[in-house]
Amino acid sequence: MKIVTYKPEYAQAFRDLNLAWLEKYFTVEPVHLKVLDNPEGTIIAPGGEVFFALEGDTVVGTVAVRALGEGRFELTKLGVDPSAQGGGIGRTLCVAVLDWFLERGGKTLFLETHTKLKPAMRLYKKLGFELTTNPDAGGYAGTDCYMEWRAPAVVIHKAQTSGDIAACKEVFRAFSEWLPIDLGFQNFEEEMARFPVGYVHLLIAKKDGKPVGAVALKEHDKDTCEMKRLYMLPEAQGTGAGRAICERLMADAKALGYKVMLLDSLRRLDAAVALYVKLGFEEIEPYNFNPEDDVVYMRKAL
Amino acid sequence: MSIPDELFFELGIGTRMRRLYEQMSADADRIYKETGTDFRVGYFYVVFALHKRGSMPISEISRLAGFSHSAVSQTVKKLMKFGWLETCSTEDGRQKLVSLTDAGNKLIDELMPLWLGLERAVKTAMSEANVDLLAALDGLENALRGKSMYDRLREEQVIRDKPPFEIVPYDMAYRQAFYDLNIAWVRQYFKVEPIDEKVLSDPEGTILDKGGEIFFAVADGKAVGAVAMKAEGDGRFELTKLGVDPTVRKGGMGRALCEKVIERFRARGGKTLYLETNTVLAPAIALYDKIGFVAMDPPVPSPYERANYYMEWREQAE
Repeated sequence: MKIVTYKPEYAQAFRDLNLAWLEKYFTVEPVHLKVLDNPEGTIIAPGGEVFFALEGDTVVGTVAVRALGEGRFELTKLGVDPSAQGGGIGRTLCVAVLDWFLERGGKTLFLETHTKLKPAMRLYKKLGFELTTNPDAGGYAGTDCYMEWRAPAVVIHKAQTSGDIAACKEVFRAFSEWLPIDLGFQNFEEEMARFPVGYVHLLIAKKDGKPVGAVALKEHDKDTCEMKRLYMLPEAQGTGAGRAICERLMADAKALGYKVMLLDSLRRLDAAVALYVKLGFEEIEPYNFNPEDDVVYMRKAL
Repeated sequence: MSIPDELFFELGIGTRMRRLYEQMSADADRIYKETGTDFRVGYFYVVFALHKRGSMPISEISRLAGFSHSAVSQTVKKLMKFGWLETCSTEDGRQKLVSLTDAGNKLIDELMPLWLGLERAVKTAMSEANVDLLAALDGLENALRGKSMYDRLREEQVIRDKPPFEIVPYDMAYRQAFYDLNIAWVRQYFKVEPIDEKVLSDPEGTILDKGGEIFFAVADGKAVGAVAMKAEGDGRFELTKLGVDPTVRKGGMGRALCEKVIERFRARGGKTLYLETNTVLAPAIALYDKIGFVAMDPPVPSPYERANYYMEWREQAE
C-alpha cells in the first residue's frame, strides 16, 4: 500500500469513499457535498491536503486535512473502502496527516466525529486524540464530539522547513561539543557551513515544540546509507526518544530504497552502542578513516 | 571461424550457430560422400537415436532432437525410401513405431568408425579452442526454457512502454539533484546569477517555506528532472527551475513536470501561473506553448538578467 497526495483523478474516489459511510450512518447534508464535490476549492486551495491510500492503482482509502489558519488544522473525511477495512489503512492515513501536520509546524490538530463511529473513535484515541470542548461551538452536522491531538511528550518528524533544518544544525553543534573527541578530521566545520548539503534525510525530535534531538542520513551508494550525528539533548536522554528516532530513520531509509545502514560510534559511548545492538546492528570492519582508537563500526540490513 | 569484420553477435546469434553448423556439416557430408553411401548429416539424429534407444514413435525422436514433428516425419519418410527404416504398429495398434531395418543396422556398422573419428575431431577442436560448448549450450537452453525469447522481449516492451519516471513531491533526498539539474542548463546557456545560487542552494527557504512546491521526476531512485512552483501570494504562482537530465531518454519528462505544476496550480485555485525564460531556449518555449502558456509583456521586470520572454498559462478549451 502506498500513500499519495491529491491528484484530480482521485477526486471521484474521495467523494465515493466518504459518501459510503456518510450515507450509512447519517443523512448527507449540503455542507458535506460542498466539500466532497470540490476538494480542490474547499481543502487544497486554503492550504490543506487530501491523502489517498493506493493498493496498486486502486484507491482504497482517503483522508483530508483542512488548514484553518494560525496553525489550526482539522483532520476530516477519513474513508476506507469497506472491503479493505481492518487492515490498518485508516491508521496509516491518519499517521500521514500527523506527519504532514508536524512537518508544517502546526499548532492544533482537531477532528469532529460521532460517538457511534466506534472503530474510528478507537483509532483516534490510540493515535493520541482526546475528547475536549469545541472552542468554536458551531460544529459539523452529524457530529457529537470534538477531539484534539495531544502530541506525545516527544514527537519525531522529517525536518524539511528552513526552521527545522536550522534546528537540526544546532543539535549537531551541541553534539560536537558534547562528544569527547574533535570532529575536525571529518571536516565538521565545513559540513556545518554547507549544511544540509551531503545529507539525504533529516529527522528532528521535539518536546513541547522545542528541538531536543536529531539524526541525519548520508548516502554511500544506491543501496547503502549511513546513520550520522545521532544526538539527544540531555533533557531527552533516557526517554526512549533516541531509540524512536533510530527506528523511524531505519523505516524511512528503507522507504527511500536503501538496503543497508552503516554507522560508526565510539566504544566508550556504551549506552549508544548498546542501543545499536538492540536495534540489530552488528559490528563490522572499518569502512572509513577515524583516528580514534575505540571506534566501533556497525551494519544492519534494512 | 569468426570473420575479421564480424557483424553478428548477440543479435544474430542464430546466424552464428548456423554458420558453425554449416561449416561442420559440409565437412561431415564430404566424408559421408567419400564412403559412397547416401547417408548425409541431416539424417544423423534420426538414425543415431534409433541406434541408441531402439524403436520409438516419431514424437519421441522429435522430443529428443527438439525438432518439430513434421520435420522429423519428413526425414523418416526419406530414410524409409533408402530402406534403412521401417514403421510398425505397437501391439495395441495405437502408435506407429519407427525402427531400423537390417540395411539400416548395416549402414550404422559401416558409419561407426567415422562417427568415432568425428567425435574425437570435435573434442580436439573444442579443447584447442578451450571452450566447453556443450556446457554453454546446456546453460543457454535451460535459460531459454525458464523464460523464452518471446517472453523476454514482451517483458522488456512492458518496461519500455510505461513512463520511465515517477513524479514525486520534494524530498531532501533529492536536494542536491535540484541544484545539479538546474545549474547544468544555466551554465550551459547563460551565466549563473546570484539569485540562481540563492534559490538552488536553499529550496526550503526560498520556495517551500513560502508556500511553494517542488517536484522531481525520479527513475530508479534517482532524480532525473525537477521543477518548482513559487507562490507569490494573491494566487500568483511562478513555474521555475525546470531542469531535466539530458542523458536520460526524454519520454515527455519536461512536459510531465510542467503538467504536475499546472495540476497543483489548478487544485490550489491559483489565479496566475507565469514563467520567465529566454528565447535561446527554443525547445522549452515550444513545450510551454504546447501546454497552454502564452507569451505576454511582463507586468514587472524580472529579477533574472537572462529573462527576456514572459508567458502566462491560459486554460485551454478541451
